[in-house]
Amino acid sequence: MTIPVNPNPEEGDGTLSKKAQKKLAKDAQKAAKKTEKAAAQVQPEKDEVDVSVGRYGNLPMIRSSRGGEFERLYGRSFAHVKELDAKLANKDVWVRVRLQTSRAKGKQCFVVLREQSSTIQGILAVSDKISKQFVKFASTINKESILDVFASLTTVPKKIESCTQSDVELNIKELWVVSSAKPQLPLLVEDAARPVNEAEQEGLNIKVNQDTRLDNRILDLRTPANQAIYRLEAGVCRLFRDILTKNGFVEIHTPKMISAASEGGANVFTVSYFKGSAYLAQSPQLYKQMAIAADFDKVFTVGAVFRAEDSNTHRHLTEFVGLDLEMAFKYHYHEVMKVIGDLFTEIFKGLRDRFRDEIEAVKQQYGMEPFKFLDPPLILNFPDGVAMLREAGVQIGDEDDLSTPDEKLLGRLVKAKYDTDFYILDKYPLAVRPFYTMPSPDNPKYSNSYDMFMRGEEILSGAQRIHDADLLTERAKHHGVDLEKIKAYVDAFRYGCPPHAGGGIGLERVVMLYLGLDNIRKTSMFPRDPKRLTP
Amino acid sequence: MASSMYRMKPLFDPYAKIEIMTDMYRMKNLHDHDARSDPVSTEIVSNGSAEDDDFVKFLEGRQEELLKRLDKLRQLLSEPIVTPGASPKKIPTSNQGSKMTVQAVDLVKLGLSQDVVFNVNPAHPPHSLLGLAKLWSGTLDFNVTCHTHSSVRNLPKPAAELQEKLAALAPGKAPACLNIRLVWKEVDGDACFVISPLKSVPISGEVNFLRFLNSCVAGKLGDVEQTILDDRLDSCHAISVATVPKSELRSHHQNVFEGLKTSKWLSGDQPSILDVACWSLKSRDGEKSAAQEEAEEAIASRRGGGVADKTTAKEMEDAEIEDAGMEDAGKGNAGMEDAAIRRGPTLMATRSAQARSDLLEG
Repeated sequence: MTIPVNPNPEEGDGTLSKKAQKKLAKDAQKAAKKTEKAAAQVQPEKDEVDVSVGRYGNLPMIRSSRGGEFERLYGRSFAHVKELDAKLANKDVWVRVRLQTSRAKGKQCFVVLREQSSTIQGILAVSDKISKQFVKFASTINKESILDVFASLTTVPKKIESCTQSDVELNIKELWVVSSAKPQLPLLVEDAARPVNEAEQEGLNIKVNQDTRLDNRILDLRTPANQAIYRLEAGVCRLFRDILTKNGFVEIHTPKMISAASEGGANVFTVSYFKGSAYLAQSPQLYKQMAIAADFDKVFTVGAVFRAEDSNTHRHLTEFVGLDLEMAFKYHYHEVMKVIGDLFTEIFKGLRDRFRDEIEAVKQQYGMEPFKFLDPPLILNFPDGVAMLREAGVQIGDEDDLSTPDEKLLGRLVKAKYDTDFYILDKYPLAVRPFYTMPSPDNPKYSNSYDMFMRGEEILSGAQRIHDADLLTERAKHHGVDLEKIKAYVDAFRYGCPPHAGGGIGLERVVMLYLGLDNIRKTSMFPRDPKRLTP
Repeated sequence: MASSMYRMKPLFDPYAKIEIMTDMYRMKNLHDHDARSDPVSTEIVSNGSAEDDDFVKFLEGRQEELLKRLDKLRQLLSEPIVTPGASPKKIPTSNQGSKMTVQAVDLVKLGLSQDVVFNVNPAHPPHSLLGLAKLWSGTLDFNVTCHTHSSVRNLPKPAAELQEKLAALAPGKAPACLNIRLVWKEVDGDACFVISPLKSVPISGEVNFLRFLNSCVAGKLGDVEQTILDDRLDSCHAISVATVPKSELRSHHQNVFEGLKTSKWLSGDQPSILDVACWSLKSRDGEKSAAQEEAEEAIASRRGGGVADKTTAKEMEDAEIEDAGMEDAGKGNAGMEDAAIRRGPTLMATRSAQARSDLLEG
């Protein structure tokens, strides 16, 4: 588009130069000609009888109204795109789908229709029942609009590789727009769903970057991989609940607004609480332990956890879903470690067996390695892990904590030797664990604590907690913790408490590592990090 | 020759007369065989002054030195191969087969300081572990922890049964203990043994795993015995690999059971690693009957020839059971196990898996 520029600005609009006047006149003439031409083109179409009237158009907004043209719509049964295959060939079906792409070609129009992760090709060709106007209407519908389509299913001679339903296509007979999308989309679902490696190989280099995806999350979430990720995440949550409930655990809900920081205190969010201030819970730890002291024996909780850490990494969020459990045991904390280890094995098995399609969808886009594990899980002692690292040339002290690169390297060493992506590292040095961790009775340098790893990254940190108020006070003093601040915590153990141990995992991190994804934002539906509070 | 090529001047004339110089000793042609055997010619060569004698002595000394060095090298090469990080072990030169050396097995020296991973195809449970535990009881204990890899969905019954038996292995009083992580996993072939992914390559095949452990624990035999043992173990391995053609299978069977012709055990007068390997193989698949029968027949006929009177397979079996009984009295519980191993070729094929396991537990 060109904007006519006034060549003599001093003269003002009133007195245009001759040249400008000429130009305006020319433009007007041009426009008139154009409308004339357009009218001439439309004329013969208008004259033609539209044989498809009543088979296409925009549906009025669905407001659950009765009567009128809606009456005939009630009771209509819809098929899901994923069910459409060669068995249903030559049958007529209704589907409610999104328009993924449309391509008009002369008297034909090809469309790709999508319902959740499934796609199917549709074809509309001018015939004695399909008018030109119908085809034209179809080709002008905006992408991502929601449609009701009535069509007969036909088998195709050659497989359609670009669609999930590759054996069949829809011969469209009716087409109604239920909800139209804006003509301009911030990102195309097709682009967002493109496999990461393919983009590098071919000329098609349209990549949607992470921030664009997160800014337009609802469009991004429509990709098959994202559909799969969040279904799988729901699966992890459900398996966690089901397996623990089966094992006699009780689900509890802990407060998210607390009066004092439970751990340390540097990384908590402060919120105003009437005249004073409160903190957002960074762990349900204290409440889990109180539930144990209150004789609930085995408890778990699923809820939001907040961390005010200003770390912009691929694996930190400021708000995430915590899956925490705590369990009383009889004589050895390995009773609890075994329960947690078996819980993971069960979850992995459940995902492997029940979410095959979802895992495949993620693999399609991100090309992940299948998750491998051992049953029962591999348990290594911390000194053994250190020995493996030393063998690989890492210099590390007996009582040093593992740095993140060390953890990754150890993960790779374990994978190479045992071929497992999940393992447990037991008996951490006491010095690197919080004050409430029970020291090891065999060696005062070590503690009754364990970390669990998936693909070389820590996902769970747990331990036997000190359940004796006096020992707890002593250990707190040793760590230089202000006793006043943890008084409520210590007092919880003054009226007798069974020995107990537990741990907590981050849901997003587990899903990320199970699927071998590179960023935790891919597994948080609406992620919160130091730089993002919306959407 | 093609006429389209350049004509070249000949490089030499094959028919030209060679002029032999006359200012040197005349020597007989060394390459002429008859001439070499002629004593006269040597006379001519060695016919020299005192200076020449010195030279010959010098040469002789040099030759001696070279021979010595060669000997040294040969000795060095004949030592058993040890894993990296381990110092070379003294070679037990006794002819007593796999009979245990008295000194304790130093696993750290052998590079087995950490636990080792034994990946096993669940279709081929490694019964040899049970055999080893008994064969080396008092020398080396085994602590076997079993895991199932995610590539295996359901553990077959024989594998699960073996797992139970391995878990029931009582900790012995041996000075050394090898921690084995047995992982049921879909591997190529029957098994894959991993010591350290950084320092060594995986060992493929159950028989080779046994061979390796044997070389670590029992040391090396004399050159000839070791070669024979290795050859038979190779045959054992070939039988365990499904890819070996049927036609070759028979000769492998014959090779493995060759030892029974002259001695009580497959290799010498003591139960050895070969017996364990063979027994494990037979326990693994009772259904591989055709080839097995062939082997049995072969042995029976050979036995018939070797021992003066012709005994049937059945009689042989009975005799062996008696032997086993006698050993029982001497060796206690281990004898039964050994007997089971020993009867491998004949009894193992005919008895059901259940009977075998009963025997084992007994």
